[in-house]
Amino acid sequence: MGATPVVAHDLMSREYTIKEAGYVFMYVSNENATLVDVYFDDVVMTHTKGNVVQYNEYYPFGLQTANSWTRENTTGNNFLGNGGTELNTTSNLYDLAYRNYDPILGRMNQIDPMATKYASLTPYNFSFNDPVTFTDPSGADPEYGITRYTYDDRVDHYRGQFYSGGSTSALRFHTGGRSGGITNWSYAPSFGQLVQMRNDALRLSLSVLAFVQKYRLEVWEQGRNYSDNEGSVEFHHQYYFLKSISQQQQTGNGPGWFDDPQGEFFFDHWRNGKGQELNLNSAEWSRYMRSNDYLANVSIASHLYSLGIKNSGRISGSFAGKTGKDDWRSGYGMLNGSNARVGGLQYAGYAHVNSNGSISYLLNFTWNDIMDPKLSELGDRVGSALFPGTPYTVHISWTDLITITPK
Amino acid sequence: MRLYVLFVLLFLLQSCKEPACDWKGGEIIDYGTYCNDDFKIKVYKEGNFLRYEVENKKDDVAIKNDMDISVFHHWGLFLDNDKSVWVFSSDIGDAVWKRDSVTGEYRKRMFHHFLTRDSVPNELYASSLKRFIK
Repeated sequence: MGATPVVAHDLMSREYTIKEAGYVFMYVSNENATLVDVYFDDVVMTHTKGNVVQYNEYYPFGLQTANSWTRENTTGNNFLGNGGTELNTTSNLYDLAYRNYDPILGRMNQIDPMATKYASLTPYNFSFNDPVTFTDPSGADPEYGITRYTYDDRVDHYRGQFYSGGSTSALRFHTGGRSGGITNWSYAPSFGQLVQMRNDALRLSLSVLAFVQKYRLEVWEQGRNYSDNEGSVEFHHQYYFLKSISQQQQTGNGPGWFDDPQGEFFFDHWRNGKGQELNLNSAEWSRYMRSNDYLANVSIASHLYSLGIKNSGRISGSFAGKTGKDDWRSGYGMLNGSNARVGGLQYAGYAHVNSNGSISYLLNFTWNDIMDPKLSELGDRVGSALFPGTPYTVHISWTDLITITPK
Repeated sequence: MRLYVLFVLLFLLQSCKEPACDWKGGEIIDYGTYCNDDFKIKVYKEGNFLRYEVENKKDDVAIKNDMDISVFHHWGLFLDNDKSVWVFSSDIGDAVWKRDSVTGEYRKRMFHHFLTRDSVPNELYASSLKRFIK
């Protein structure tokens, strides 16, 4: 090594932008054609960090690809997938309010608490096996992924219904207002127009989020129910349920006075049941109780709203439930209001405050009532003297998920 | 003659009054207006719901129904000796309107259980409303 350098120092530097996670190797080499001594000194590598701290790439069912990375020594955001729910990075499970979801299997680890609502699907399914369309932030009931439909609180709650049939064959659009009152107006489009309206509304709901927030469209046609609840499978569920009612009506032995088989069932049990207490908790009865719009959206929703719950946690209680029907021809009408003597409408379950401020209530309900029809009110239509009966107590149990979005 | 005119006037005055308020209290199991010296109780049907309204001597509404009781279930009202108004319904349950001794206002108490013989006045248990008592 000479005492005096032949050439002055050259400052050499090189910048490289790192585009993905990995390792950096740095080496120096003397590539002169002839033998020249070159001295490298003060070799330094500086890593200037960019603004990106996390990069996630997902398969459709929520598993992250190998391209995903999180910068070291930073706290990753694990609330990115499945509508903002937490991914437990230790177990690799999505930690939902009601269940754990395994994105590797594309299946839940526990049975769906709303399994009776979707009898045709495996209770372990995630988003009806259609993760592109649906998301399931609560783990209880998938929702439409694009719009995240929930019904609004009482103040701004509207659900529309178009239906035909009955004595008028007219189609009516109903809106339920704050007081639970129903207003309607009638007109009579053809069935073709009716389907067109349904499709238009569905398209609208896909493109105009505000529309979905405010309306739910149901199209009824004599025993068949097309419900485009923003594309949810409730459509199939309601369709089959009402179809089964229709079949029972055709083959039943009843006098034909009743609007639904449940009404006939209650009346028959009053006549022939000898006062035996009824405990009804089948999937069919669960569906029947869940299908009552007034009960879910006005009676129960207004009670839950009045609780003023702010935090997630277990809740239970009872109140005077109402079905919104006051006739004697349907099961809803015979139930009319729950009976405080035998417990009223009891509920117990879990309230979950969602990230968008809405609250989802997964509750087990029991409707407690006494059936003691006053035949003199029915007059000639039933022939009161012909039908002596015995009063009885009835308990109907079901589970429902009710989401209330604050204004 | 003067006495005769007086009698006629008295008769006319009597005729102008409302129907005789001679209801003795007790059970009400049918629609109508029930009147005695203290109260006038109107019971009627609105849609398929039972409505009742109790007016006091000054024709002020003392009690007004606040529940949707279906008329397709058995129902009954009862005015007991303490001037409490009992409401029975197979549809939604039972309640009693009792007078607050301080304010004079009527307050409703809903029962969340079957009423027993001990919890109702004897005159009520002796009426046809016994069917609602366990």
